[in-house]
Amino acid sequence: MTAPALEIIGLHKQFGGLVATRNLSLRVMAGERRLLIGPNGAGKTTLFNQIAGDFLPNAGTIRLFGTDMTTLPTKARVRLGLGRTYQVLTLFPNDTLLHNVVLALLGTQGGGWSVWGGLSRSTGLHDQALVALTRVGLGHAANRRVAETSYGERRRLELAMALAQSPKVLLLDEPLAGLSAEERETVRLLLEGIPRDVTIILIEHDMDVALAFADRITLLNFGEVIVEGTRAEVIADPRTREVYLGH
Amino acid sequence: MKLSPILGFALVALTLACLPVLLPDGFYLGIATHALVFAILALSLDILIGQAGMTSLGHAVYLGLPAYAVAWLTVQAGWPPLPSVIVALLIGTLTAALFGLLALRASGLGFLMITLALGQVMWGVAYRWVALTGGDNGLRMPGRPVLLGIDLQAPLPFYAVVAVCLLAALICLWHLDRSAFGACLRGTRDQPRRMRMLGHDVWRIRYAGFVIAGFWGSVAGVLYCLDYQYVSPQALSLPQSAEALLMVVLGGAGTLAGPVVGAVIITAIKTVVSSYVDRWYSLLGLTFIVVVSLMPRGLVPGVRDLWERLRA
Amino acid sequence: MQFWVIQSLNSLAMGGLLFMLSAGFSLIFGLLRIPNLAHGALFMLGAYLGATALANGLNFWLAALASGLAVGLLGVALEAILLRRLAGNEQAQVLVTLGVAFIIADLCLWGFGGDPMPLAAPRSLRPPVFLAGFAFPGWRLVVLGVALTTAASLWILLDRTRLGAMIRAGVDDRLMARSVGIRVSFLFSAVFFLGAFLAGFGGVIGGPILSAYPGLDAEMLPLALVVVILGGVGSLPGALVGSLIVGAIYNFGTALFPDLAYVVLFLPMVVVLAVKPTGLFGRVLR
Repeated sequence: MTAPALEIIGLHKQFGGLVATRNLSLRVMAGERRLLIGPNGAGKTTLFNQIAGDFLPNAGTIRLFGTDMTTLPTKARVRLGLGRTYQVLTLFPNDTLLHNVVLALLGTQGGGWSVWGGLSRSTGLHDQALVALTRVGLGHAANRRVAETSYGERRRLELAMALAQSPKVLLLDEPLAGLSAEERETVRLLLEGIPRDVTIILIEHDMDVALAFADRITLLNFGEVIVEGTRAEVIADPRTREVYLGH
Repeated sequence: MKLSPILGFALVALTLACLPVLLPDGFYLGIATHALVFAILALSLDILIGQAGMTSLGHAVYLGLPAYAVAWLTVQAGWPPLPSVIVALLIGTLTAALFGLLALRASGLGFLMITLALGQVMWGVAYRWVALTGGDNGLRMPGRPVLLGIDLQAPLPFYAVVAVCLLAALICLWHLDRSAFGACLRGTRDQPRRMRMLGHDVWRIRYAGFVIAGFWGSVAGVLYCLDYQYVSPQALSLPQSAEALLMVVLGGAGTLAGPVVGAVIITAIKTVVSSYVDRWYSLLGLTFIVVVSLMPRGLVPGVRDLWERLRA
Repeated sequence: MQFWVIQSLNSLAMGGLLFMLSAGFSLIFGLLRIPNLAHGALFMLGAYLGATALANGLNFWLAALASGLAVGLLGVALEAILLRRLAGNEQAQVLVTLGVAFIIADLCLWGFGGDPMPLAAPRSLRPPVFLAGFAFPGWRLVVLGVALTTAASLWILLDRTRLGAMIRAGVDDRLMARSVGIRVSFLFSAVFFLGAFLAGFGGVIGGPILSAYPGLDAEMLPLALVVVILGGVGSLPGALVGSLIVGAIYNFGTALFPDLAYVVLFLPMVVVLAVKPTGLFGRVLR
């Protein structure tokens, strides 16, 4: 039996008196699309932060394809095939879209130490970056600065940077946040188009898109798993109603 | 107004070459030389401030320490000038490699405080370890040496050497700015967390930036010693670090021209003011407050914005 | 034996003095996220004002309180006039405090001259105190007592009063403090007054040991930095423990390695940074 793409066992994180993640376990199989839902403050992004290595948990284990990465620094996790986008855009605003993606490529492919030759001359990286931008429909805007693009375009750039790194497990934190109906449809198609060799874990509040996209759903509240199962199972579960509607 | 880089550097070189002819006498050439030495120091500090986004208040270490090293090695130890200069550069750069390990345990305000404290350590050594450093009296050089066959004693040849060093620094930093490493360094400034998530080693990128800044600061330090033929704890003091910082902030951090412009202006003000009154520190403090409050981005970006608005 | 006992007491006194210096620095840093680089200058200004007041025949304690008050008001003005406009731009705020430090130092040199000005301790507290066969310098015991009283008062203020609760809330989470309706601008003024008052007051109390001289500011500021880096930002117990450690190292360092005393002072900072960069009392140093 092959190891799950992402396996979390007994994860626990406490900030002072506040428990952010409570004895949380999660198994996501290779190629799966998993949706994380839960009310604000349920601990979804905090979980992403721990998977990414922004801070270490107090207890528990995180494995990527069977490799224990609980205490590895972020860059090592990226090398194991982890990618992530952010809910709040974290782009390099004064650079061109192309350079943003090149920076992503430098992270996984090395070459960030080169002080010889201008960045604009390393054509290999540029071709790859252009491919990644074209994939999200931004090929025409490659040389525009991020500051000159629309919010919707920045959301797609965010996705392009993560995809350019060819991750095996991709964490998407609200990729549809703040988009118009038309832009949502564009991004939805992009997400559908990601090949199945990429495992995706998604946080999203747009249930129309998210429920259709996900294979399985995990409902979190107060940092712990409340319900997990297929779409129908989670929707039918009385505990789901309880979390969202109160008693 | 997009200047081709080659043309830009040619213009700078031409200006530097014409300066000795345009200035009335050796006195002014001497002041111009001081300004260019500080321009190199300000450029080196701008690698930290402008590129890496880390404000250091201890950059005088890389001015004063190599300066002390040159003076001590040539005078006290009797070494020939060339090895002294090389070893001084090495000492400055290695100190940056050591201090970087400590200062980069923090970022932001923590980084600023640690660099300040480390700067004070070096100042303390220079001031108190009288046997080695001469204490408050400092170390004096008997004159400028002959280096690589060039007699640096007269103002003109020394000016030429400093000008060439400044040009070299400008070209190197321009290159750094547009290299992959430069892009990564700016990335760690704008989005350190994202950089980590993209697989970069943020700490190592910053550390490399810190050491490079230390090296170019040491170049300024060696030239400083040869220029003034004298070094005292003042070269390592907090006001000296602050002066360098003010040059960068005044001229405009993150630009090549900014630190040079800032260094020229501050050196000019200092020279003029100190010949009339000795309230230089008050003026330095006041300039700090005014620049930071009213012109936070500095002169060069400010003028550039104005220029673009006039053309539009 | 005599050496160690006396030096230990001197260390405690120096530690107490450093606490007076760094408690205010730490509070201001904790609440406003500004390392107030004018703090050393405020300490020195306090010492000069105290010396002037003493020279004009004022009672020592009145002189100390008056200097503290004057320096405290200067701190409030500094925050209200210069720093508040730059809210959100921490780097600009730091640079402004640095500019103010230079101006204060330069004006002190101008106004009070370059020679050190001694501050005489109250006559009745000067003679040595005999304890267990050792002669202790009287004033150092007083300094230690004043510092401990200050620490206790600060603890009561922060832990037992409404103002203190607001300050603690602000140090922990500024947004939270604002959202529960605490007037943050008032809080900033109050903390700046408190911090600057302690600096000015401490400058006078420390005067009989240190006296007032040009460069006192530059010597004290790094000590405050080291204490805060050691003890952790915004932590009062951290400031106290950090001060005692630095005070001990300062004293024994000066006695044992006079050439390098000032350098030895920074060693604990180096060690703490290497081992536990958040300081002994654990806040993240950003």
